[in-house]
Amino acid sequence: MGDPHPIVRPLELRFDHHHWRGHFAAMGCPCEVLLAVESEEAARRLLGIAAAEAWRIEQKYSRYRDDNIVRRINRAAGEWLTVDEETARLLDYADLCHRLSEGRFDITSGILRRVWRFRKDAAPPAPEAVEALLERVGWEQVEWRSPRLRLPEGMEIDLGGIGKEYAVDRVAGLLAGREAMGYVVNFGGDLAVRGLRSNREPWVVGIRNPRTPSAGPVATLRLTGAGLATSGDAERYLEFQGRRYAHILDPRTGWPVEEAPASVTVLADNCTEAGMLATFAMLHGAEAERFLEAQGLRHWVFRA
Amino acid sequence: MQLNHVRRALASATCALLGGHASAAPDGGDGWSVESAVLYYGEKDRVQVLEPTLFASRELDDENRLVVRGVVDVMSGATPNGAVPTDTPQTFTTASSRYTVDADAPPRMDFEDLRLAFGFDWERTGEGGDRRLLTGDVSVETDYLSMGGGGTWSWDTRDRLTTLSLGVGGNFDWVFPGGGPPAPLDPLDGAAALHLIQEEDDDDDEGEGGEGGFEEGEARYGVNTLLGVTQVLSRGALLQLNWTHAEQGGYLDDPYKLLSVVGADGRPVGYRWESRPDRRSSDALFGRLVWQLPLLHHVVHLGYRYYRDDWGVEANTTDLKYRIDLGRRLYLQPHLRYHRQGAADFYRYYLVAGEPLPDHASADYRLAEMESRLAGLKVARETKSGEMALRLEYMVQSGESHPDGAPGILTGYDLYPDLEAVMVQFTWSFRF
Amino acid sequence: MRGRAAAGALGVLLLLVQGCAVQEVKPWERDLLAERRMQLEPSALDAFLDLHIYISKEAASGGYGVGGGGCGCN
Repeated sequence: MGDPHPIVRPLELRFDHHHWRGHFAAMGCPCEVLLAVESEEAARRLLGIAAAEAWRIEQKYSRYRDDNIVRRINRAAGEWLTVDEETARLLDYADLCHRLSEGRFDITSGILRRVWRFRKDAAPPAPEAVEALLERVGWEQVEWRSPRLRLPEGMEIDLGGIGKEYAVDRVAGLLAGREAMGYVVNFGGDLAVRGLRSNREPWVVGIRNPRTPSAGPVATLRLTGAGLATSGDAERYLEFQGRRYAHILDPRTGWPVEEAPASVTVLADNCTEAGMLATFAMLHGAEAERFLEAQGLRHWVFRA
Repeated sequence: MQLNHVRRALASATCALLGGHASAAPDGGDGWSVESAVLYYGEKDRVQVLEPTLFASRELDDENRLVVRGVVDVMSGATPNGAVPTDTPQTFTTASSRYTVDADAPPRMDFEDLRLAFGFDWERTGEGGDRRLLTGDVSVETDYLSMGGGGTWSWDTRDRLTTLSLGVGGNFDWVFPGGGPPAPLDPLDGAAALHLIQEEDDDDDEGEGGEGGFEEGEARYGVNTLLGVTQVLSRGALLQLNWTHAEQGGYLDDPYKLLSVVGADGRPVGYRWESRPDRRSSDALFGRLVWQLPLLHHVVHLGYRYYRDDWGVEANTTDLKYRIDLGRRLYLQPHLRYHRQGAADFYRYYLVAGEPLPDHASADYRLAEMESRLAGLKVARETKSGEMALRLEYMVQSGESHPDGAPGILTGYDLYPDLEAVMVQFTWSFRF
Repeated sequence: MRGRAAAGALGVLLLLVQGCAVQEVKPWERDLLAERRMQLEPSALDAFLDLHIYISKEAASGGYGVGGGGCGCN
């Protein structure tokens, strides 16, 4: 296998009231870094660090590329493969999440997308088609003896359910202890906040109802160290014969989670944890609110 | 799904996920973390100690951690000299001092001393996850110098559930009491007289023994080894088992301790310096359980030690700390300790006039059969770099006050008065 | 006798080891064990000061580690 091709895309930087605001694209979403630093030079350097890390993670874990570890794992299905340390940590994490969610969170479930198309006018798949694919879903069938992995033939993994939040926290970690008094790493609405703005005030983050985005925030948070993540996509669902199917699939049935909220936002210590709890809540469907209340974290559940 | 259990498990897993390093190395070294304390230790009618202490630690890089520590002991008060009380005032004349004890009072020697101690721990984590700990300590008093060091090597097996440790250490001490160490079992006044003659010969001023320094001292040395296993029993329980063996040699006497030589009426006819063997070989088995109670989340630290040596001392010590967290930062920790020991073979309350002298004899209360009880409470608030805490403890040591066969008037005296001590410790931590 | 009491106590500890049958603890289940209060010696400072007191007041010593400085303590 040849050297992977590093990702390089344009960076944008401008000054915005009390901080520098940098932009770049990664992982299929707009990425933004707000930096409380004095000089443009420092801001540009930190933005470079942030983008490089986001692109590294995208390159390494994107399922759309053919030169990375995810592809290698999926190609080696049926055989033992030894993975690098970072991938091993991610797989350990996915393994735990699978058990904690009693099988609801499953990195082998991506294959179901082959039959499910979430467009307003698409039809749900035939039950037999789902049934056939379901045999190839289920982390419990995977042999994982860190750092060695054996994926049964026909199965695939997809780290997309962890990757973006992980990237946010990785970038936040890399920016720690450098010039910035504080910063916000925001990858498509999943974010990590650290430190203070240049005016020594906390960062302010508003939470909107995705169904009524123009109505103003339902909550305004003043944060100095936190992770915030949202699961769910209010715009992506399919409606068929009067029935609405949510974007989120239950890997145990192969069908959308019943009575799933439109979106769930969770505030936690870091973005990865917030994202995973938001996903778990979505997967709990009608029980989403009850699940989150038991966790003792601030959360916002929006239902259609 | 146990709902409230999810977040906790997830939080620690997330830490593990984000804690590791990927392509970029984290910045090393984030300053010193300092823990400082002042301990007051006060015995009723006996010794008082004020002990400011400083521990500073620093991560040098991913693999190396350094701890340096410094202690000052300001000691004063009176300590039992080994003699028994009697119904007339007693005067003790030694090479460096002369003091009188009231009739019927337990004989004690007043003293004042300052001790400075410094030490370090250097912990290095190897590539395979094994840990090497190197320690060094030096302490100085006006009459004592001690140097010690040791190395411990620990490594994990079986998915890091079991840790094995091997350690070896040693110490070299120098005892130089004023006037030089007395000859074992010599009569007290004789030693003093001998010293006075020497002084006249040398035409020297009354040196406190500091002069001539090491020539008037005696060496004491020791080697100790450790074999240890630590086992993770479950998600919230940990067990440690250690076996340590120590060999000591050289001058093991206490140069200030003596014995009364009593007549048939129980009154002293003289005093002799104590004498201990010049070797001591000891073993200790120590077990410790750390257990977090389910639901309550209180933490139990239970330690037990069995000790024996070839001086005939056998001891059992149990130590219990029970930590109760109140909210996120505040906790209470009651502490109970019970220690029971048998006497050294050569321990005696007094010598009897006219009986042949034993090879070894000591009336040091610490070598007697006794039990020690301690109860304490710590109130602490955790901070980023450690804690801010207040600790209060109370200890009582009691032994046999009226040994069988005590002659004459000695039956009317308490030959092992209880030792009562309080400890007050204030701790605070900071970072710089 | 004392020796028997000691053997008994040690027996209890060994039983504990076997009785608990050593459950498998995965890396991510080390959250509790990672807490400072679950360390063998949560406060090195307290242990250091305590040890100094006990050593200078009792005949027994050892069991915890190797090295360390002595004193001519009373």
